[in-house]
Amino acid sequence: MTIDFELNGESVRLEADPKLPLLYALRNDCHDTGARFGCGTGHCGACTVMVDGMAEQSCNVPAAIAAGKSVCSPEGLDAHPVGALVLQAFQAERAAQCGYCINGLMMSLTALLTVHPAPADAVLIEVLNRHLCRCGTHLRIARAARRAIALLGQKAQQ
Amino acid sequence: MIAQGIPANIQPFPRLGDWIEFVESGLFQLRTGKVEIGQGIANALTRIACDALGIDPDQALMVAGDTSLCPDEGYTSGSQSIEMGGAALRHAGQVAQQRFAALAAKHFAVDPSHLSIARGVFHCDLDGRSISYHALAQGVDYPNWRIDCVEPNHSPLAKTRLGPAETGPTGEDSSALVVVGTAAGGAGVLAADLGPSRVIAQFIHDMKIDGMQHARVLRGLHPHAKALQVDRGAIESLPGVQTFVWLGDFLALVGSNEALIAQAQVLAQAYVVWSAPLMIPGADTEAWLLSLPAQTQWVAGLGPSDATIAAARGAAQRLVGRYSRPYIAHGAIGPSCALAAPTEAGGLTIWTHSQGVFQLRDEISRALQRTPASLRVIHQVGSGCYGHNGADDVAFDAALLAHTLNVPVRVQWSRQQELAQSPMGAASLIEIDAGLDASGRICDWRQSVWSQSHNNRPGSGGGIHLLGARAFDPSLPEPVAKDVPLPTGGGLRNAIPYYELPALTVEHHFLTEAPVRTSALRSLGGHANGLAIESFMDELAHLAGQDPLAFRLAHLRDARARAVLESVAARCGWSALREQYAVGEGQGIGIGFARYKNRAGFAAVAIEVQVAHQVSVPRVWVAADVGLVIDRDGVLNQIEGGVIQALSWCLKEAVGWDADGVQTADWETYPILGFDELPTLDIVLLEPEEALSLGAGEIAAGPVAGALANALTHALGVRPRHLPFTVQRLRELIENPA
Repeated sequence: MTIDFELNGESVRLEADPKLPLLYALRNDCHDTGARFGCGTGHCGACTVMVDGMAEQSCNVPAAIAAGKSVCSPEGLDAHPVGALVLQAFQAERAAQCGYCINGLMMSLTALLTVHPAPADAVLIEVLNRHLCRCGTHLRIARAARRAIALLGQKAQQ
Repeated sequence: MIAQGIPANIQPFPRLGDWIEFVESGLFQLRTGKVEIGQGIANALTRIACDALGIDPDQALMVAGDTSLCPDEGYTSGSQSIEMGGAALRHAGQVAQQRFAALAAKHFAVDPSHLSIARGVFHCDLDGRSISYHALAQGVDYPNWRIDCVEPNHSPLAKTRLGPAETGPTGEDSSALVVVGTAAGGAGVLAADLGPSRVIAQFIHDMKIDGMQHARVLRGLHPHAKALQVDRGAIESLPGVQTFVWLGDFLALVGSNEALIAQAQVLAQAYVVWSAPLMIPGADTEAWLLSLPAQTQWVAGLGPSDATIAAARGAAQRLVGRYSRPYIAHGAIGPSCALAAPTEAGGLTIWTHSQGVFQLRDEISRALQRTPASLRVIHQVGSGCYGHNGADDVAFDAALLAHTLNVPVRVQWSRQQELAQSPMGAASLIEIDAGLDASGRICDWRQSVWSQSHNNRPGSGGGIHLLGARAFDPSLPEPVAKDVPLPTGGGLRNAIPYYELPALTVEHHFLTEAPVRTSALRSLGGHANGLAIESFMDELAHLAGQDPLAFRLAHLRDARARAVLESVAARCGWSALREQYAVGEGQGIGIGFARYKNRAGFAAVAIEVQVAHQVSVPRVWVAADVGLVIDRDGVLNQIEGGVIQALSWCLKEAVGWDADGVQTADWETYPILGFDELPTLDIVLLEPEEALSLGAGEIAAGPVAGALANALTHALGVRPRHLPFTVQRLRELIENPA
């Protein structure tokens, strides 16, 4: 079926099997490889993107859910007002080792902080906990998330 | 004649052109056999070579791990890359600068002392004339210059003073570049990964080549699985399956639509019956390992001598302890992936995230009966790698398919395959039997280690190690089980205690049979031996009626070892916390120490635990001595990662089996540490003067295991000895302390 949606601000029309995962449509049809395959079952979060502002694990949702909606992939992060700050915070904290899990984490945080710019710590941890990291970069990632919250707070005061 | 002080890796690759080539657009191609596996080595090596040459990182094109272009520097493993690979590139760069400076001086008809260099351009300080490497290289056969008999013995040229606007690509003043640079570690990967124009093709998973087909391999849940029944018709009719490859027990689905092929991989499992596992380990690691045939040898103390027997007889008190860890999965977040494509000349190009491209090429050539020269293996960055994971196996899968079908193929392993089929960290059992004399000092110590191999990499010993190769051709020779030899050791890594022990014997029961392929996982046997030795030191201290820290210090002479222990004790407030937490009341503090490989970095770790309805680790302290710290943030990042990963192994991880094979093949059945289980982490780096730089990524695993066991013992009043320390296992221990 034909699926029309917006990807990082641009209109996209795809011929895709609507039941197959959104991840493959993004990576192979749209050539946005920032969302990564990790498990295919929504456990690790490496594939996370935003659909109408909501974090979705794109390996585990059908491409059809994008129809008529606005999708933000990691490639759209730096143009997203909150995403750009999240990116800046991760770079400042050097919050990566191999980096495979990081794009998905930044997507989830961008989705969270767009709606709740100053979330309770328990909420923040709950969102981070939808992601897995194997290199053991967790402490830096959590610091980067808190730095992003601080940057958002500074921006709001300006 | 080979000059003294020439790096070992230069000797087999003695020409400047093996390492450095001046290429178009004024750029410098740097070649290394050491590859990026998430540890930040690409950045660090680039900075080393640039500094030696007198160029900036934006002028460098680093080519790493390409069998057609790069020197074979062996595996990228064991924290050797800066030491060996860095030394070679630094040497090549220094020799190049020295020889080209001589050419420049001749060109200007001045003494080389009047030259300075910036961005690959030599400047004459007398009159401002300048000339580049590239211009000087015209008509000069520099690639064939021998660099194995030249020791750079002059001071490098001064960096030309540039205006304030001339800074390096990272915004630092390029004249202030230090030897290895700052912020290597993951920062290089991060910056590249996050840049909007660099997101594509950052990982091997993201590579695309023209005409590429997607493939998925069908496998059982253990490495010896044979396809007993295959419903070819049903598999071939699955949507998206354009070709079904069936070669012996090697089954693969190939098609142009990856989403359909991935779906078909799941559906096709209903149409294959796999053979049952040859061996199924029980949940009791201790009983399982003791049931296996062993090759026993004495590795220290040469067996019980008259002296050790006499020492043992003289003991006032004796103690025996057994400790174990189960099989542990690598668990890379990105499952292994590879691409292979036929070349016009009839060869194959293979892209891989293997740690050893040359060894992989040679083993693929033997398995496919092709010449090594017909294969070009090129490294591409994969997901974080902590040892020998599925990278080599998936590269063979892709090579076999491209070889058979004569089309470019990309193979992506599933999560299930990554967790069930990758080589695993070996299970280990350690028994220690020791005596205390009347004064409470250790008078004899006998340590026995039961473990399988910690090295089944391609090229290790005989045979073919690639998973798909022996499925496709069972006549290929089986790998011969052998372990990493001492002094670094596999199962024996850190099995010889670093303490001062008067009558020491160590024996190795090497287990030659295994239910899975066991191979290198971060710190190898250092993890289980750290658990055993550091647990047992606490048990002996208790028996002697001494404080665990004081007991360790009483048996340590090395000042650097004592310093990390004293430092971590001061940071955590050891004595106060020991007193504050009553034994068995749910809170505890424990300590652990090791010198990695008994010859590398020192680490002492203190861990605080709270046990209620779950086990939590509120605080961890580390004091480390990795010699001269060149890249502080990189060292901290590696230690943090080592601590968190080891906590995950110790608290949660164990590969489990059922009748079909490995049962822990997803993140629900093989959980790892989450963001809701993090401690605060306090790391102090001790930097003794004039100490050589040592690797940091693997030093913490053993001390973490020991400190955690000791803290839990403090909190529970009973000692856990067998990993993992899950709530369920601790509950069983409390209910049945025997």
